[in-house]
Amino acid sequence: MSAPTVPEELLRAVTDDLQPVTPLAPVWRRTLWILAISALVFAAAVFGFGLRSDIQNIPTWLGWGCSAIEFLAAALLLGLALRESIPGRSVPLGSAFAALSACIIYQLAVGYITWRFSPGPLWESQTIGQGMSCMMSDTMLALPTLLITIWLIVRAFPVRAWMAGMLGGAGAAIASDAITHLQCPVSDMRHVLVWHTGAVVFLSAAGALTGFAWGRWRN
Amino acid sequence: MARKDDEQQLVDLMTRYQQGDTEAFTGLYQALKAPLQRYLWTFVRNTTTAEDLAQEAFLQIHRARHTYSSPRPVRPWVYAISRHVALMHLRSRRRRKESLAFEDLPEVPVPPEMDRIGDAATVFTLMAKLPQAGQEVLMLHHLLGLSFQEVGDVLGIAPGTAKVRAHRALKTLKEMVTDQGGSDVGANRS
Repeated sequence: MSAPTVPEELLRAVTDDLQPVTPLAPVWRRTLWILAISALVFAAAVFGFGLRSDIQNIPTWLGWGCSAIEFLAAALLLGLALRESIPGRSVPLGSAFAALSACIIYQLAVGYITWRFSPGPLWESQTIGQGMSCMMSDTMLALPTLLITIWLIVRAFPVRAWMAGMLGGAGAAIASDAITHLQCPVSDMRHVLVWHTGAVVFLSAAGALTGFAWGRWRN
Repeated sequence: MARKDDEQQLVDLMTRYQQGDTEAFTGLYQALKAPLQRYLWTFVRNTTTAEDLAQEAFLQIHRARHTYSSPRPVRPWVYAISRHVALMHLRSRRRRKESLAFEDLPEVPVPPEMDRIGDAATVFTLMAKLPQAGQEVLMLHHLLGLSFQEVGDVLGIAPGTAKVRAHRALKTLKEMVTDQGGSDVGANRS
């Protein structure tokens, strides 16, 4: 059987645009770029807004230690998002949701243990406005990380853009939660669940929608 | 061994293609067009459409060529992009599956375990009756020779899931051949 010849139209389209290209940097390296920028934003937030008023009641392992672990968990989600954006390296759906669920369970567990050490203001004394400000703070802190991640996803070729966006949104939200854990003095589980886990769900959905919309636009 | 050599050849071609070598693109086209068209046929069941989609897939491969990283295997990357092209086509056109015109498709070697089931025509006709998920795994693993890990990478499923799907699809295919008396065909061939 003779080798197929490239149709002229296709060959022309390819040769007209056959510039040498630089392959994308490995996922781990691009994840580190995101984390470096996130760390700068978070450091500015800590210096700018200070730490929670009851930080002295919380042991270091629970405060800074758990925040560091949460930041690493965020790195895993961001890495999965970048991996998902490369064709042929799709993340199994079950693994993606398992990673996301594990991060949320971790966030709630840390919230519960923190509450045992320092209950802080009661849920009943909190207004919706205060809760909303926590969610806004989570979202605003996550925004630079999310934007960089979406940019890196779009620069690749995600075949399931919604999935890459969802993982990116979740990663950005979990990273920002690592900092709000050190800033928000309310450890009541209801507050954590509604406003902080709510922010993770909201940003994951926002990332998924952005990815979905971009995917539709590209096609 | 031959599979490894083929894969290494594809990696070399892809690397040269990324560096702007037209001949490398031609080499990739010649090596991948037939299996790609076979794979795309499982989505559209029409030779002409599969050929058009293969061209579109090569255009998308060109646009996405910076996302390939050597020395990763080329074929899962190529099939993932092609699958995306096929799904977009199905979504946008909402085409109904058309006639089973597989006769005009370029030949791809049929591995012994598939060959034992029946002749190529029987296998492809019956494969078309399987659910899409089963067909894809059979095509990628049994006919196009991807490992279960690679099939998982293309489809976004765990390798174990790919293995289970392939096992079930192969079992169903064998049952269909038996129901059709196709086992005689297989016996005659061996």
